[in-house]
Amino acid sequence: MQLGAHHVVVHRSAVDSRRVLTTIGIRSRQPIRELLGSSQLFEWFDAVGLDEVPAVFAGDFVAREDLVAGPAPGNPGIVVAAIFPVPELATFLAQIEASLTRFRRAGIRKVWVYQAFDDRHEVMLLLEMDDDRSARRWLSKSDAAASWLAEAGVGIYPPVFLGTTYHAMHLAEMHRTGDS
Amino acid sequence: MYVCLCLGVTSQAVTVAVNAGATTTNQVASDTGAGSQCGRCRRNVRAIINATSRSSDLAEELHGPAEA
Repeated sequence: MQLGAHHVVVHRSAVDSRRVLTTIGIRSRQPIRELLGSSQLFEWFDAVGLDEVPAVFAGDFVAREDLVAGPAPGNPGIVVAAIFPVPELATFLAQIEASLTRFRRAGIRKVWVYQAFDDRHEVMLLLEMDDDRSARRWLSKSDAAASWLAEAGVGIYPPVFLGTTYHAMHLAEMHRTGDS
Repeated sequence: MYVCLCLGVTSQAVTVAVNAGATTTNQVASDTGAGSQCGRCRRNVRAIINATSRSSDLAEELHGPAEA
């Protein structure tokens, strides 16, 4: 199956060793349904022993903020990801824009926001942070996290993900960033 | 989010079915198709039923029962 994928990244949880976050970047929306219903995807679930399949977020990339010049040598950082509803995307993005200085002080290096195809009031927020301690402190202490992430883990929304990049593939190039 | 990957059924579609009265995974499957193929997404459907039910209970607690 040709999906036009340009990257696949697997992150493993720092909280629950059985949990991973996998992101697949695809150039266009068109093959999403084909991917979701494909035998390949179900083979992945079978291979890791999942009897019940997880819900899948699929959406457009809508914003990215780089708060540091480049990756810190020897410190790949930690990833925080959450999926949750927002009343208005524009308002949410404006709140992020207004929070960038505070974000950097809290240890956030990069911010990505994706808007769901099927529900334009649903977003996935992906953060790269300096370290585990900063991430846990931001999640537990910041007003932004308290406000935005209240519905993460409720109903269909998965709990907030906290983890590290384990495996990243970019087109034909492949490299492993974590230990095995 | 896509709840049923076989048929591409979304959480919104399942929520609509639950708000319209579906209270079991079989009823949701009948209304939306979610869970009607391989059945491996039924836990997702159950999570939406439970969350919607809790949300309705909370609304009733706060505002009283909905008028018929």
